[in-house]
Amino acid sequence: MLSKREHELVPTHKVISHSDANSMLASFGISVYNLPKILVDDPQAKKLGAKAGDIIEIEREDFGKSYKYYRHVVER
Amino acid sequence: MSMQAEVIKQIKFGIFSQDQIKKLSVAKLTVPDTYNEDGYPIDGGLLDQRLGVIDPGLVCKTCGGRAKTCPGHFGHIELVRPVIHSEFAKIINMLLQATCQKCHRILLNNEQIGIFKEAMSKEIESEVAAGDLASDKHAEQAMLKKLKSVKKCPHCQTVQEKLKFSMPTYFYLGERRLKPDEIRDMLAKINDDDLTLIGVDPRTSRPEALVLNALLVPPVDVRPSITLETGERSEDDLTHKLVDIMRINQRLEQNINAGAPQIIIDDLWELLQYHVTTYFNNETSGIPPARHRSGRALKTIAQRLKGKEGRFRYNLSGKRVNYSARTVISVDPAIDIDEVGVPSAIAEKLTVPFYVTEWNLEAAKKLLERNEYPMVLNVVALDGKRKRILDTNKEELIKELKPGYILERQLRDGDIALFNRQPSLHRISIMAHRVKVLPGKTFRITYPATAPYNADFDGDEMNLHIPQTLEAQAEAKYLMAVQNQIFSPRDGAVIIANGWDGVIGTYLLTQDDSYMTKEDAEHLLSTAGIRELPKHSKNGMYSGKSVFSMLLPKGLDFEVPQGNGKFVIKDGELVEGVVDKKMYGEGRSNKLFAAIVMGYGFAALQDFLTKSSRLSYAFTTLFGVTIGVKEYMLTETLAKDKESTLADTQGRVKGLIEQYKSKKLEPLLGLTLRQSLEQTIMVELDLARGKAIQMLNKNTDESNFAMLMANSGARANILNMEQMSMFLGQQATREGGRIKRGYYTNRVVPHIAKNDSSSGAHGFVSNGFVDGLTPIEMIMHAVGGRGTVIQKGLLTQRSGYLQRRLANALQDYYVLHDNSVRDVNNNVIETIYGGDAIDPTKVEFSKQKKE
Repeated sequence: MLSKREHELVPTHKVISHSDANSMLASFGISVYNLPKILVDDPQAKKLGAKAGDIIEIEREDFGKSYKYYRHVVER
Repeated sequence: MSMQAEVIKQIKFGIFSQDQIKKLSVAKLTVPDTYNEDGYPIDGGLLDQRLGVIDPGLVCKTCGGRAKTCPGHFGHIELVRPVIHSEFAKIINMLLQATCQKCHRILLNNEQIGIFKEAMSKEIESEVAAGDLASDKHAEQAMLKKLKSVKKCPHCQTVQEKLKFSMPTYFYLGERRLKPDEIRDMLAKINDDDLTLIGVDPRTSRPEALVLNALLVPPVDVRPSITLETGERSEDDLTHKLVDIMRINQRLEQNINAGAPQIIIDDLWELLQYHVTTYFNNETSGIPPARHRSGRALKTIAQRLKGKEGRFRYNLSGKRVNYSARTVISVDPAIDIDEVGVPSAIAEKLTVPFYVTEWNLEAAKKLLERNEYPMVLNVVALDGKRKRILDTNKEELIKELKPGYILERQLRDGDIALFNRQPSLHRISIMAHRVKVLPGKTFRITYPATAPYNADFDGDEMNLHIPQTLEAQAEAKYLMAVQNQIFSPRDGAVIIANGWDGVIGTYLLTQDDSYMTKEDAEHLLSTAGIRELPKHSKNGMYSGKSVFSMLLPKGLDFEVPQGNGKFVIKDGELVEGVVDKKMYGEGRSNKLFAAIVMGYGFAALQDFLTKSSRLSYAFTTLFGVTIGVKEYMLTETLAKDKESTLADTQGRVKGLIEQYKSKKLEPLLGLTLRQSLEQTIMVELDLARGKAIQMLNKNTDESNFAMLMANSGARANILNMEQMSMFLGQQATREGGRIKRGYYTNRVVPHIAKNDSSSGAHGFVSNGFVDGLTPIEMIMHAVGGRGTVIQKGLLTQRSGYLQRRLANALQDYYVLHDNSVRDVNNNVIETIYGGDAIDPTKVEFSKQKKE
């Protein structure tokens, strides 16, 4: 069966550490609330066991170039 | 310029209580009339002088101000019987639904109240954390849903009767109608805590205020009366409506005092309700709109605000501006692509600020002294007061002129102007042009500059705006200038380029066998603004390619494939290839422009574009390009070819039908036999057109101007020519198949036999426009044409609206210097623009650089 967690089209998600998150936020010059959101009950967030307040790093690939996207985990 | 001192974080709307209305009011109005016989406002009437004054000369009795200074003051009418505020009827219904009919508590037990309170406070917390103050309140909605099904009050155990609400203002409890005063009493008894739970803030809006005892009357400034030329006074619609309300109110009062029967009182009460309802909104559903004596529906409060012509969309979002002009546009091939021809009449009216400093004081004085065309119209003094220059005060103004003054001088050549054509669908619908003052009454632009505006000269009008600060002028000049918009931000295609006669000229000029005399070369180059001749000549004749090369930047190297050969520019000389639309016109295939920009900048490209279009027009004129029916007449060979192709195709179609009938036809994969037949016939018929085009190509050369136009890309293509001179071919339907319906079900017209599958019966037209179509063919063509029109209409409408929604949703996002996409609150939308930070406008530049 197709799995929302493991599908090949879903880019790699991972929870990043506090210090990594802080340096990323500093590099953009923003606070966590300026990031796009992801719900705690999103299949990927559930799979990672992310808690509200965590930041998930997504390894996206468009046009053969890979880059990082970030989402702030929020309660529903 | 002032800085903002406070930031507005929140705006809260509340409802005036009856007490607040009375406190706010400066006058209790009692007389349902406006003026007395002397034309003087009646005290206690609707134009009472305490409500403010609009006639010059009168003094406001409240503030002592005159027409210009008095802001107007609210009054009030006391209604003898309360009425429902119709615009809030739905909320009243919700409140009655949510509370007990006897004890007026919320229909939830204490435990449920606790649960919902907690859920709501949590929600508010998370909203504040996210900085999101306007999200839907889920818990509240869930609660209200629950309340509808409660049958018995959990507090006093009263069984709830069925509450019925009927638009616009009627409420029934069981069978009995609830009168507004009863409703008011019920609402008044709901306690503050319960209201908070329902989502009403009792501090700003108590629900009993939704039933009106007193009606706030807006100042006369809001509803001014007009005096007609005849001396007759005409009152505003709102005043009329208020008169109606007061009249009924007075009659109701008299009847009550006289002890009239209840039925009469109820009737008048209801009439009062009607007038108040229509006073707020004369388009309330369920009741007839109140009308003027002439039969026109009155424009009451809601109508003033609502819709396209309402206060919001018409006056607030759509303000009119100064320093702008609008007129018809027409073409001028003699001006530059980044110029706009401005009629002198407009240039004399529009102004540009001239900021006086200690360094330009002398120049400013000189300018101010002028009393013909480029002169100063107004002077803005240090106090910000604008003075019009007259002969009487000129001397004085010159004397008092000092740094800090602003002179408003007339528009002149070289000023920056923003030029716009509606609908402004994308950013290049507004571009910055340099002003060129010209005689005449129209704005003038060049042909290449029409493309981004989607303009033509069949009566189009455009708007011109003059930026008024140096910052705005600089921004316009460097970000919005026409020559910086030549490449499309969508895919990097060229969107500002020559077309039509501008392309056919370069095409003819740069043919391999194009040679001209010295005189012609001189004429062409001087028209383009070049005062030199090409270095090389052959027996005193100059090649077209060498003449064209004079326009190219010195030292340009460029090479791309063209047709079966190459297009080569070496060291600024066109050595091989022809300058056609693919090389030089609009579109992605034009790589030449990117090469010029890469090596020499936008100014060089603009120069090339301007000069080459002049050269091109001149050569087209010199050469003489013309067209007539003779271009589409077939030679004998071609006529024979056409007949044989058609006969051949029809024979094959017949053969296919025979095969089908004798079941010998091979079915195609996934199709029935019938579908396979249709498919193969369609393929066969499409091939016929291709063959015809081939024959046309083989037997016609470029001495035929129709062929010349198609080949150079100036206008039309070979298919157009084929359809005129040979045959139209298969007419398509919207579904993509052959035409099969029309007369009943299985034939297009009754003149065709039933179940005729032949080519002619289903939309194949074997005549061209020159020969003329048979009546049946003409119907087939009309069917196809109608389909095309419908499809085009649907498509543009659909995609236009989609595009508009998308553009509006994305319009305030921008790319920051770190290539991330942000919104106005600095939220990150994308970490890297487009995932690769590529600006499509510049893709072609980088490719040109590598080579």
